[in-house]
Amino acid sequence: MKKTKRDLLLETDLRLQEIAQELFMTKQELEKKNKELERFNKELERSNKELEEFALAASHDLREPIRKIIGFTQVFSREFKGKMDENSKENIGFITEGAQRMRMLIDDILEFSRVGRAELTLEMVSFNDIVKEALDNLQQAIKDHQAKIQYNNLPILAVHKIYMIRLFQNLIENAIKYRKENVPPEITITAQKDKSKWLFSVRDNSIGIEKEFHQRIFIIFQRLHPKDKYPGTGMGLTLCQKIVERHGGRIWVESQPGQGSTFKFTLS
Amino acid sequence: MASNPVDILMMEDDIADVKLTEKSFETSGLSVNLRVVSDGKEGMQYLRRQGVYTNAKRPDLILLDLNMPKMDGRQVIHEIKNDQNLKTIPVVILTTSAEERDIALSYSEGTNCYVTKPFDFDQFQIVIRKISEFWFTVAKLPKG
Repeated sequence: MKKTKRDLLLETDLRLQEIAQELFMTKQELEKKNKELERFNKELERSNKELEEFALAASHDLREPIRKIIGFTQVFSREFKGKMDENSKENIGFITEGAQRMRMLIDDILEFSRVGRAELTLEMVSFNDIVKEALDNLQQAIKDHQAKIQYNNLPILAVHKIYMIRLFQNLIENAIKYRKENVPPEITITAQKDKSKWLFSVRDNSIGIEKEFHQRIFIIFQRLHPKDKYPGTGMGLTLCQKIVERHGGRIWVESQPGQGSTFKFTLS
Repeated sequence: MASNPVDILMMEDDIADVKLTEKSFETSGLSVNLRVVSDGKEGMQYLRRQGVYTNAKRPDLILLDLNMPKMDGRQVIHEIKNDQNLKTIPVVILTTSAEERDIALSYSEGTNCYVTKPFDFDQFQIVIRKISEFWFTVAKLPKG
């Protein structure tokens, strides 16, 4: 049977109503999902905050027993100095070393959780000044290894000064620490504007890092070398990442074994 | 050097730290009567000469740890510095905490000075010596 215009209009009308109905239900579902996501986000935020406070409290409370171990081992060795043979001295040495290492780890965790929790105090600072202060803090190491650091024309940006100094200090310290044997470290620091962000680059002539480890080095306590070969807790780059992320940026490395490393990071 | 022995009240619950402190005073050359209580409640009883402490001697200096059971150092400093009879006794907070908020709070409650216990035991001895040198040979104290 041929459909009249009226029939067609009625059909279209019905169809439109169905579509409107579907849209309405989809909208409701979306709103429901959004609310769930919001709740989930709040829960994640709360959980993160709790974890950071836990790390802070735990590392703080762990310092005291370590203090006792280190301190009384000192007292103990002193009291038995003449009566200990080489073997006993070595054993005591292991206890003390273990406790000292634990203390370093705890101090690093403490610092890390502080950076995660603290309010950022942003002030306009010249990055030339920031790098200069980082170098002042590394004076001895720079002198010992005849390290050459080049930097100029760095911008003035609103950042949390102390954390930025820490960031550069860690990167430069690494460049010196992982230097090639008998090759004085050379480090070049540059910055360029990239749309709304600034891209910083810290290039060195160190031993370099294999591509497969480019992400791993930023993970907490992950190290690529035995601790008696290169000292450290494996926290330095993790802290750098945290500092950069808190400033709304990203950090990564470009490197090849034997050809130095370039650490790059953005700040918005 | 003070000619009479000085009376120091130490509020500290950690036996090891008490032991270290005693040893440090011994080697300091200063003549010290060190009285120790292990929590803030007992400390306040001592200062107020209550209960078993009716004959307690008023200390010339108080060494106060912040983290103690029952009543911690933070409450103690508040009570001492708000008590007309006790507030003139110098209080040295000697604690493991190096937290900025503990330092700020302590000074705002009126502590006379704040010292963080050094990690190193040799340093600890030196610090105790410096505290006693300062408070008993450099600074002037009010007559009890």
